[in-house]
Amino acid sequence: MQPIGTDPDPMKYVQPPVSPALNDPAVRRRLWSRSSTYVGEGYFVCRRLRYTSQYKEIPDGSSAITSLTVGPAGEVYGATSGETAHVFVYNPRPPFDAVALLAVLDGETDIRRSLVWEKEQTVLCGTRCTGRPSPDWEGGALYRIAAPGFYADAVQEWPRGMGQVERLCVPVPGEGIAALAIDRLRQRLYGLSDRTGTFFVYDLAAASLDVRRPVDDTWLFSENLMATPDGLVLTAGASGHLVRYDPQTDLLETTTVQVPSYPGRSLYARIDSWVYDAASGRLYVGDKADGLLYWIDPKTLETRLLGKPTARIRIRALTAAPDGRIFGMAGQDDDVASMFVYEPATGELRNLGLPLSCIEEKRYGFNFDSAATGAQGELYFGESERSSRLFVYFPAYKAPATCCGNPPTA
Amino acid sequence: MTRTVKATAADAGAAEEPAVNAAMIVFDKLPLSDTCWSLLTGPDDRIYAAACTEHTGGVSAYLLRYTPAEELGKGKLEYLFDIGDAVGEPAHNGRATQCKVHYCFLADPDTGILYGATHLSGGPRGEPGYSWFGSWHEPHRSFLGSFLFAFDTRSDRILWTDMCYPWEGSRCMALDHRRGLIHGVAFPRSHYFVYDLERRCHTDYGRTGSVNPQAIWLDSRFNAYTTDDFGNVLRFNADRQRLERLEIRLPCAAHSDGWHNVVYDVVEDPRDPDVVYGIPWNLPARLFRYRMDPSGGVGEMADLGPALPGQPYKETATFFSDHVGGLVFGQDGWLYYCVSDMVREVWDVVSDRRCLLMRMDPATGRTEKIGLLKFGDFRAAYVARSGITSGGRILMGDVINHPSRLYEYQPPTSPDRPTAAVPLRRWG
Repeated sequence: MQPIGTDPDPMKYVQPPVSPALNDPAVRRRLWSRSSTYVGEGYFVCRRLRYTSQYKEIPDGSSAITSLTVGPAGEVYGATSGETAHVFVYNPRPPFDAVALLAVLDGETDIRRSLVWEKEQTVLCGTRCTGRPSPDWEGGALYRIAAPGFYADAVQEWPRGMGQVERLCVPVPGEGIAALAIDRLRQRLYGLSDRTGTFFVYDLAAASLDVRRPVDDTWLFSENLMATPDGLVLTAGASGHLVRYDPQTDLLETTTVQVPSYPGRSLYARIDSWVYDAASGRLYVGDKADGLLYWIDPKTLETRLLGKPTARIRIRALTAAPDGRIFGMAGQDDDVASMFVYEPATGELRNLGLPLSCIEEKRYGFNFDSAATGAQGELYFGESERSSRLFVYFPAYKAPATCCGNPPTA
Repeated sequence: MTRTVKATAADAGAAEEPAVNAAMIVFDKLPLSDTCWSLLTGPDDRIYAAACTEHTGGVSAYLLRYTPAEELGKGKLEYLFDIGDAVGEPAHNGRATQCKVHYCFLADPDTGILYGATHLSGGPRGEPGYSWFGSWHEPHRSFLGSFLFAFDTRSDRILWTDMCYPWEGSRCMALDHRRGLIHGVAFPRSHYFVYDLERRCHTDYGRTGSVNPQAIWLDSRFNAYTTDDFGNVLRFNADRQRLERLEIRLPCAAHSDGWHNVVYDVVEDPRDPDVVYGIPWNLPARLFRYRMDPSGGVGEMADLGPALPGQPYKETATFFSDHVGGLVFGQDGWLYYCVSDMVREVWDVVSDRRCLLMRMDPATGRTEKIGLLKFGDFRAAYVARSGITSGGRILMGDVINHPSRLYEYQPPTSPDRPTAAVPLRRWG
């Protein structure tokens, strides 16, 4: 470095020769317009977490959407983490297109991957505490929340009410709930505790709890429970070994199958996100160690690495479009998110770019921790920020060869 | 040698406002510099300015100092140091450059230290630009982070440097010199952070929105304030260490939903540290007065009307082309500021620019046009920040010219307006 106060070295400002064309603003505009950063395939809407603009949003610091699930009627339930956990429902249908707050769970801070739809207008959630718990915190609890529903036939004068909250139990005292999954056929709720990875079963009909064992003796496990429609439940223990619970045999079994990982990285391999694809019967999984995408056949436990769709090291949110495409969000807390799509028909894995909503609010999507698919094929991504929104993504569909009898324009 | 140009009465066109009696001080030795975002009166009563180079790859920001003389434009201009070299990120290292200091000069009156923090947007050497989202965490070309430097204005030494926020630039800052804290907002993710000068580390308090606020300001108890995308006031409660959204907003035009009503510039009322005057980055921008309540209330917001009264609605006005900035109180009690409405994408084309120096009487709300910043054929584009010395000299930083430059103005004295000292600005 030159001594302070001496004149700048003129040689520093001699630039490598560039084409005079770059002095033309139009050329520069073209260069940038060909290098778009944002998701330009399909489009995003973001919804504030409030009923209408007359209402306050779920407060900043408590609005990170860390669990999402969709009911069969298309209503989208969400749960938040932060200073106080909140549960809400989004009704996408007109005249609502609104988020209704259902519950404020005082004393609870986190609901992560632990929200499931139980029955009409009712969801179940499990809590945990990521900070230092208060001395009187018993452990993560199971809650049942019944929503009052939406009633209206005009754009205004809708009745409003909060949900009814029922605290069911604390499955593993002193520990939080890392993940929940539901088997509605058998009326069972499956869960994992967040410290020891203890697997538990809650019988919804009998209201009884059965606490099994940690899924791995080392307490190294993935904070996700993957469930299939026929009742199989999977997670991964140390080194990415799959652990399977079969309701037919009632056995929790650690298998010899390891999830895909880069050489030398299985130690860090965790299931970060997942989605069940009904068309293929496969579980698509996002990896926490290196941001890999792979699938697992839950019956045979065959796995197939599909690739690494972005430069990010985590895939925190995955969901499936009705046509079988798998959409995901990659990135960790201090990242800007990178959205991607996997097309099973062609095997193509594409980075779509940075999510950006321009409807309701121009907002970049930097952090997402949850995803779900709506009843009409729209995809929901839960933003996970100090002040968060619900992002709704409408995937693009290939234009037909002809449109209204006319050939598509070039 | 410093090139200065003085405006004359002959510059005043018949159909437009007269030229301001001001001087232009050009950064001749930094031919590629293109903006001077940050300008601040230092703790030593001299003017510090950053010569920034964001539209040419591979060039760092440079710290300059200007000491006014009796005659406008005849002061001493010193080129102090290359900021990239100073923080260990030289401009030719292949990464996006430490090309700017945005609104991130801070003056510590107790120690005489001038703090500055770097910002991004200049491309790597040889590249036509920099995509901050596209290069996110890319290990070779990505901007490494915002670096803070502590420059001792008493000894002209750099005391230390440190990365104050990784991977991102610092947009704006305020200094709580009593607690040893610097408040900042990072770009591009708009996270609010607080840097602890003693522990040399930062704490992240989360995101403010998608559009960076352009200023952070302080009340008498050093609570810090900024805004979200819709002009909602955010307060960092110094005692509770908590960022909170207040139920109060900056004013905006009735036809607007308030989006992009982020704060652009704010200046402290010389008579009351709990009152600020400011302007949002919006169209048309409306001046505001905000009386803060350091005890925890939301305070009172007053809409003082458009910064340029009578300006008709213009369909082609944009956030890029129209700015109001450079707010500074003169010793005569007037609030001085600059209004621009013709910044163009084509740089150095100056024929149709208009940058008006204006002033407002806070007692009555009356505004006056002083004139255009115009020097022969040259017309200023816009001014983002201004500063004032104890001698009452106002310096303005120029944006969008090669090389970058300052404008110097001396408000006339008036026997019916007693002069009063202006407090040292506590934010960038």
